Amino acid sequence: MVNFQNIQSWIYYVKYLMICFIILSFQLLPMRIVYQEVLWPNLIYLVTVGWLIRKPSYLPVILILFVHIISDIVLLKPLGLWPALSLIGYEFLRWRSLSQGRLKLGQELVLVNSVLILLTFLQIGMELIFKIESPPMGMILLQLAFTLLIYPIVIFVLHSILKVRHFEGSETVGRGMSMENL
Amino acid sequence: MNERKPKDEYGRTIRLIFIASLVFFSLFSFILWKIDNSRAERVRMAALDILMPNFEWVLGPLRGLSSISEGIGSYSTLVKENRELRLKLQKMRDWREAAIRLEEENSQLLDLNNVRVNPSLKYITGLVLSDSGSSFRRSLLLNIGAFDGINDGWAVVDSSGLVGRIFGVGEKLSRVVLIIDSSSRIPVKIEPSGKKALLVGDNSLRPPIEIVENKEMIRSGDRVVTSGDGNVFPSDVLVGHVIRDADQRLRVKLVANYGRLKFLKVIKTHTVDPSDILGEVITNTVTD
Repeated sequence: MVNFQNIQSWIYYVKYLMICFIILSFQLLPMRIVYQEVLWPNLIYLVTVGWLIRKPSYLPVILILFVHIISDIVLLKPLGLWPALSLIGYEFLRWRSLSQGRLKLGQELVLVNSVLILLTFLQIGMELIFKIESPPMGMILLQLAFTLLIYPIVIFVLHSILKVRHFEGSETVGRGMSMENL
Repeated sequence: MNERKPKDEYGRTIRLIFIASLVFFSLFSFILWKIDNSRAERVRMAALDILMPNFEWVLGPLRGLSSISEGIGSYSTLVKENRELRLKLQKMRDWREAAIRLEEENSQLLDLNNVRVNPSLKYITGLVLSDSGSSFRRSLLLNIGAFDGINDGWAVVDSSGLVGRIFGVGEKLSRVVLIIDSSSRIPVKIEPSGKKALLVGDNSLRPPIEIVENKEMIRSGDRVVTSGDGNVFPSDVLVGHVIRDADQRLRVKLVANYGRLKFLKVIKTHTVDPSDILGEVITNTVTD
């Protein structure tokens, strides 16, 4: 699969893995026990979503799943619940961005935020059904709000630092939804 | 995306099936985790054993950086602190003399009465590797595990007081659930009244205590120590002091320094029944 055309996509994969890795490391730092009133936004969700909207063909679903499972393991969360739910959300966003073309910033914000809200409530629902002790509602909502607010910053970082940008027309040729991009 | 050939229709179906199977895979692992929680947690600890060294090259420098910034921040308060400490030290010297005298007297009296003393507590010291990363679960990873003889359920203390207990042991790592975690329930007793109570974690640094009766006998400033009920924890490990919050609810001001958890001691206790591992032990045994 690795030919010279694919080198570009491999660069994107490595970039994605690196950024997620760094996010996880920051979340693992053992300094925040006292300062935990500052909730961590769901940065991995934001990065993944921003990526899928900009470069839907350059982020294989396997990679997403891999990162999410690792994050579940490392962050000591219920294994597999959030990956399962968020994968559906991600694939919806990928499909949306592949089929309907480029979104305006406002549309993108609304779309990303509503998907996150939906997924969060699905997660809470699942936790209730399976009787997993879920954190207090206030904290979840606070984290949700924080995540929603921080999305523009994530877009900025993706766009300017990681150079994950919208397609420039000619790039798209020959890279549709095909088996190659699984 | 623009020019899709008929062949892609086929590819798309396969892709859909593929994604669905991934979603089912995740759900399946979630259900496995739910059904056989203790085994899944053991698998997680094994995975962490492999994963954590990979994070170390990022974590190490970050840890260094944050300790530097902490150092700079604390420097400004250092002079003031120093003066206060010197004053305290003066007082402490007097107390120390008194304590040594009492200790001697006490051991003589115990000897006279033939009292059998709790065999000295042994402990293993570990370094905090990371915290849980989630704001809802208050737990830590220590760099000591089954290899060092750590067992589930053992108490973890810092230099001054109780911090949490071991919940999940890997080969070279173990996970500590802090007493402030909302799943934590620790049987305690309050001295000097000797009342039994339950320390209930609620994600705050001042966890509340639940007492069934005679709340009047408890005053602010009373010492809270572990009661040793349930044979999981050693008894008489200092937890903190009683305070009252605005709603007159009893809470515990913890003595463990949660701002700077770095080296933690795991207290070896030999009474743990291996079938009791992972949860329930404490909550079940204390309710009677």
